[in-house]
Amino acid sequence: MIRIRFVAALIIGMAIGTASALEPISPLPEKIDVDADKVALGKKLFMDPRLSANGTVSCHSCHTMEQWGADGRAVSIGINGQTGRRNSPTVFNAALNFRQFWDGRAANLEEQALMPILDPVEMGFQSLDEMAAAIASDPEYKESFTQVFDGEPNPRRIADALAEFQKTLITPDSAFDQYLRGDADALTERQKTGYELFKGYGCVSCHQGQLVGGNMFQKFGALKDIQLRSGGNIGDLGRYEITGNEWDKYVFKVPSLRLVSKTAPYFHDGSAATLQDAVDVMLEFQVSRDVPTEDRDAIIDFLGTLAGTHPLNNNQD
Amino acid sequence: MKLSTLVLTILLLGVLGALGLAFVHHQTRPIEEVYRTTVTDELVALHRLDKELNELVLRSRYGIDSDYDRISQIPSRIRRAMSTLLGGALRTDKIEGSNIETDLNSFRLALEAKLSAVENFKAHNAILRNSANYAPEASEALAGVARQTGDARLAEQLDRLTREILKFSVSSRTREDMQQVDELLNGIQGFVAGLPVEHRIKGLEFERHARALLKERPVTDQYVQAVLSSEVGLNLEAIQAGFHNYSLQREEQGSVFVAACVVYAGIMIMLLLFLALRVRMETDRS
Repeated sequence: MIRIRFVAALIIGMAIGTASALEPISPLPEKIDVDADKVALGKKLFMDPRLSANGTVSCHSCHTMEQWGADGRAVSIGINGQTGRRNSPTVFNAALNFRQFWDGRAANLEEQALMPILDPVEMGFQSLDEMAAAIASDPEYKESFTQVFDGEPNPRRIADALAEFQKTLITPDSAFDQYLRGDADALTERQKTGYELFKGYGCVSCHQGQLVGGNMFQKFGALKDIQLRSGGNIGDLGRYEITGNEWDKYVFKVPSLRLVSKTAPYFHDGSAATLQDAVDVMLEFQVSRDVPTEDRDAIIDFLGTLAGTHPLNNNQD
Repeated sequence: MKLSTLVLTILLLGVLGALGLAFVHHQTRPIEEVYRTTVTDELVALHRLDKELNELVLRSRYGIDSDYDRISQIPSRIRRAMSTLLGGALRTDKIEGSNIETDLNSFRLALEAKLSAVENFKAHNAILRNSANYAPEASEALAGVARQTGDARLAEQLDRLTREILKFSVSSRTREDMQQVDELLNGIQGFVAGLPVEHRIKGLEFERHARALLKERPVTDQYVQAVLSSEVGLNLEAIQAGFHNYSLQREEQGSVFVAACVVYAGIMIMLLLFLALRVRMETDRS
């Protein structure tokens, strides 16, 4: 009898495992292996406003731990109170993005880390060497860099340390990840329905993978011309401003939905104030489906299950 | 010639000869075994990644893979392998004057074009997949509405449209087939416009998805073709062959250095013997 139960449990476990392997979304990793000393240095740099030309803006200014790696604004405020053009995406789970920035112009976290430092609106340095000199003037930093890198602070090492810290900002173990791992009770029936609708209405064509997005580019207005949408910045042409290719007009990186319930407002320009607004736009312009309110609300309920453990609570650092 | 002058001359010739040998060695030294192994390993790795990318594009196109995580990791893995390659034995200063530089440039261009095609494929394939899933279902639902209104002819047209859309999703169609679907879609527009609002919305949705399918299928397949027919693989083979030939050439040149060493040693021995003779003569004289 015990043997039968064991075999049955094995078969059921394999079925669940196989089923989750066929799902278009997979769980986040529990953690990424990092160098603890480099992380500590990177964290200090991340919080340090001396990475801006006038010493007032740090990475943390626009990517706060309290607001799940974002800042809750439509667009961020940079040096000397200047307003940016695009919404600050969350840095949580950003290590898993296939590219960085809304237009994907940085290949990885190391490349991304230095660009805001040189942006005249964001952190305002004229050169990376100036920034590195500001950091190197601090004897504590010099000592830390010697310990970690066996050398002086320079732009490459600063970017490396910042990237290493951001690798710890993972939000594993969401209710949905628990469900994918076989815990059928991790979601309510409505949330499970919401997931099936998320797949059925085609949202998962772009919002898939472990980040539920974050691994491809897509045209904003894939099925309906986005210029027909009221509100929003149609002057921002997205990847076209990098590539010059006609098809790349209004193409942006598909954002991760992992923390979508925590990081309003939405889209590259922060033009959707609520998750309901954002989902309505997606349903109209991306998948072109007229969806009953109860289905939309079930999808929103499902999206809330994607948020995992806050990095400050997951013993990463 | 005074003895001291002779000694200084021999010393000077010795130093100049040694410097000359050092220069010849630098120009002709063979490529170190460790670098040759690294280059070979990285080129093999790049080949494998290139093939894996082709396979993953096909798996995504035909719905075997339902997410793009694996395919999205390939570009960064390729760039890491290239960085190792270009930072090692294929550094510009090490291959200067060889044909490898030209092959490397061709490879870089072909690679960037291929990776761009992959990104475009992912975007268009996502739209295609979504519309291919929904359009037949929507067409069938509209056919049901047509039957309810008693329009059997229209219902038959919509059934035909459903079949054509399904066929279009799974097999290659001619331009005439696409034209036919387009005409069928145009034919139902009047019907859709006359529907009650809840059905009209569904009708417009269906038309949008059907037209997306017509548009995105050839575009998506064009990017698949661009990926599969990319010359990245050929460029890698050219680099491999070029590097192999260059290594052989450097080994041959290495024998020039050996010959120069032998000549230098011979000359220095003769000069030192002559010096020894002179010292002996001076000693005998005194």
